[in-house]
Amino acid sequence: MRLGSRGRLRLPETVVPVLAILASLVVLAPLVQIGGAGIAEGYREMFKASFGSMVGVGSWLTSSLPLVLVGLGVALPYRAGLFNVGGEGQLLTGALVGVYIGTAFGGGPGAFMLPLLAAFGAAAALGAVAGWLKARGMHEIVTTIMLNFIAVFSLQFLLRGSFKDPDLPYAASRAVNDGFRLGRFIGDDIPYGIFVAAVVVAASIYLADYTRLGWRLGLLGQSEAVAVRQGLNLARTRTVAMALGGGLAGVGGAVELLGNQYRIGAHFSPGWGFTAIAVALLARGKMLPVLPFALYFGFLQNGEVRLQAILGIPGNLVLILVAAPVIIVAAVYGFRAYRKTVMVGT
Amino acid sequence: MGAAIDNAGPVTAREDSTLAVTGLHKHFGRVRANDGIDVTFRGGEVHALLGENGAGKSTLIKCLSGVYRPDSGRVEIDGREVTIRDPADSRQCGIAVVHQSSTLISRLTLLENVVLQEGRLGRIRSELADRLVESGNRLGFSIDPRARVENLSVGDLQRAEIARAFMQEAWLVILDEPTAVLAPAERASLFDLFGSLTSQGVGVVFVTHHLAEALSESSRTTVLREGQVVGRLEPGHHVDEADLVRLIVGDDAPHPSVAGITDGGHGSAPHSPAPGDEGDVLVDVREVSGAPLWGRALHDLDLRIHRGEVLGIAGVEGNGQRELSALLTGSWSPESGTVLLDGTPLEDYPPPRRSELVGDVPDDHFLATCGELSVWENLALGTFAWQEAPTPGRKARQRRAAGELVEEFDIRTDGVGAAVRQLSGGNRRRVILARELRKHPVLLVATYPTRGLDVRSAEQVRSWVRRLTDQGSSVVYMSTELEEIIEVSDRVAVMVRGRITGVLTEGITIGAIGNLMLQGT
Repeated sequence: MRLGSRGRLRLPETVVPVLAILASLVVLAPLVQIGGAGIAEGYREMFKASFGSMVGVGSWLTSSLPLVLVGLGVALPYRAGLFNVGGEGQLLTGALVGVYIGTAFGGGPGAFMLPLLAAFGAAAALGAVAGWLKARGMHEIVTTIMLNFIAVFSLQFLLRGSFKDPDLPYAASRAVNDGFRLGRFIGDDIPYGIFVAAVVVAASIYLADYTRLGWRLGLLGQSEAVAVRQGLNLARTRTVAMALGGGLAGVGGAVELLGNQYRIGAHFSPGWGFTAIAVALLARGKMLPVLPFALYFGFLQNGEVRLQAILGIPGNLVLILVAAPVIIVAAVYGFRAYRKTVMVGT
Repeated sequence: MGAAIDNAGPVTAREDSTLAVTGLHKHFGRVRANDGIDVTFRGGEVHALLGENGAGKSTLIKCLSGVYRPDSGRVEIDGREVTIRDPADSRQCGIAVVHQSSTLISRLTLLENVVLQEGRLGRIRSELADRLVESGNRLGFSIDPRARVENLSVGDLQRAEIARAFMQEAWLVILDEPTAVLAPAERASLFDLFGSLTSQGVGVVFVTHHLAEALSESSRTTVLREGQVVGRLEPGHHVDEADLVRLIVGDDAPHPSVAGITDGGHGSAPHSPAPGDEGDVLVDVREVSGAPLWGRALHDLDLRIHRGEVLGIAGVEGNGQRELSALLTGSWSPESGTVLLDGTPLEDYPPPRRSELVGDVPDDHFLATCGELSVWENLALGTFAWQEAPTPGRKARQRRAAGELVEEFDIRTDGVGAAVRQLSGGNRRRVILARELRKHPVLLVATYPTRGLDVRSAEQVRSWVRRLTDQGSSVVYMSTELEEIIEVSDRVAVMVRGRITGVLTEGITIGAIGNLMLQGT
């Protein structure tokens, strides 16, 4: 469903986030300068990190994959008017289930499907809890934040117990068996995970734009009152939306696990669940735009390390580039809404 | 923002004040909502504004109240040009607007609302309360500033809004369809209020679709059509309703008979004899009691709807009509009692089937259309939610079908792709009617379906309803207009405070309905 109106004199919905990103690059420039490096040099290094070599492209894609999948996991509920802040916990849940299966069994050709599906199911259950609680009057932002804590501390608990690899000096799980790993191609650089992501993106677009369920989710996001009059069961629809969102985020965790880290430690995620919120907000709850925005943030994340290592610029500066566009977009839409209220209200 | 008059201070009501609008233009895309309007409003007199839906009445009011900014044109008060940039400017010019739907917050008291809207700290509450009461007293009615808005009747609310406007020293009060929501008795007291306003030098402008009302209550009348002034009635001129109708709809357009609603043709029974109570029952409402979270309670509701009949539900708004429509469309299930549709409990129908069988025209278009979605998407809302997946091919087909519906139901829009938000209230209602009638439901639940529609459109709606019952479907038709109910219904049930106080099968007259309305109080 194209939710945008074809009104007059309105920028296409996607233009605002893109302009916001450009604006954020301008904002960062003086900070890079103060940090002691040339602006051009800084951006050149970041660019090189992702596009300087095939290895760079591979590591850029690897950084982006969880953002694409968790981004979809936030965007889908967003469409139904739900704010899924629980991507982080859902991602960890997916990875945990992946580790459990990947270390318990031997695997083989096509076996990666099993941990992926199990990750989807487990994380979907976690998401569904938030959806179910929403129907009972508990706001999904609160419940998903709390579920994040539960997932994080469950992980830490397990890493101190049965999940810990006894051969490691630090708290991390054993590595998943070779038979479950996703691997890489083209000189061992490009992750096979991109095919998983491609299938999931296509399925999400299909679900959101070409099915009755997707239409109902969009309808609920547009107007709860109209949705009720059209016969939607709010509790069920919301539970489904959150379950699907959670499941997608869980697949994100499993893809990272099976394709990159192979084991789960306390620092498994650098905060993908939260960056994904930025991705979904810039995509305005639409599925396809999640892809470019996730790839952009993956690019930033990938360049961060190099910025720090080569130029000595604090990598945290890059976080500004993640946050600034979201703030700018929020400000633009907030201002529009404010103007509308002032014009109509008395 | 000294936009309005150069530091003129509070405007006092004077009999000789005038507000002159010349050459006012306001376009939305290709729609010329106001296309060069010239009109003058004077203090101390009542001015009626007539026109079809989409004729530009609301746009004109919104330009004067600062909601819209006109594209071009002059507004002069007492010969001095003023610029109205926002509602505050409008208030400063001494213009008070009472919108059709109340702008008061229902959970607060009247006083709290006034405090909120004054938006100034340092004003003492008791002083505001006194001024509100005094303002009511001057207009001849009493106001309780501590009454909660949600507990007030529509009439009380309207009077409170007028008193509030009067607090701001307004010399011109503009009311957008003030009588549409009022019971006959409340209407009469509103017109009394007009009298006391004008006697104090205040000018009154009101929009109405009731021609008789315009003729009897106003000294001047302006008729708009397609954004232009097409007729002016000056004091002393005599004109009859037929001429007025010709002005409103245009000479070229074939216009239906307007008898029965404009002249209040009482007790006419133009159609086939009403089926008896033992007729073929389509819907059986049994001992329903309970209240939805958002509404009032229904008590011991027992009601049968026969196949092929129009069952009118008469009553003052807010007596359970919205709850009844939610009940019959299955969007609310009561705590006790059942609704049987064709012998099966309504909640046992899966939603897709239910939405096929039952047409739903709720009282408020916010319950049935999404403003941000386009006209064609709103027309396909239920279809894509339940019947068929929104594939590209089907979307293209729905778009085409929407084009035909826009033609057939005469929806004034800047194309089927325009957002419904941009449509006027009447056209939004047409979108809902088009969608619900197109599916040929076995039961149509219509709550105030003609509210806000002009004479001709209202007549059209009633003929669509008739066509539906001719095909064997049943219609529940709720209205606050007794003449309308009598004209359209085979049987009439009267609803008071969430109860059905009686069902009239024959001898349906205003008197009989009125008696039943009194029984519940």
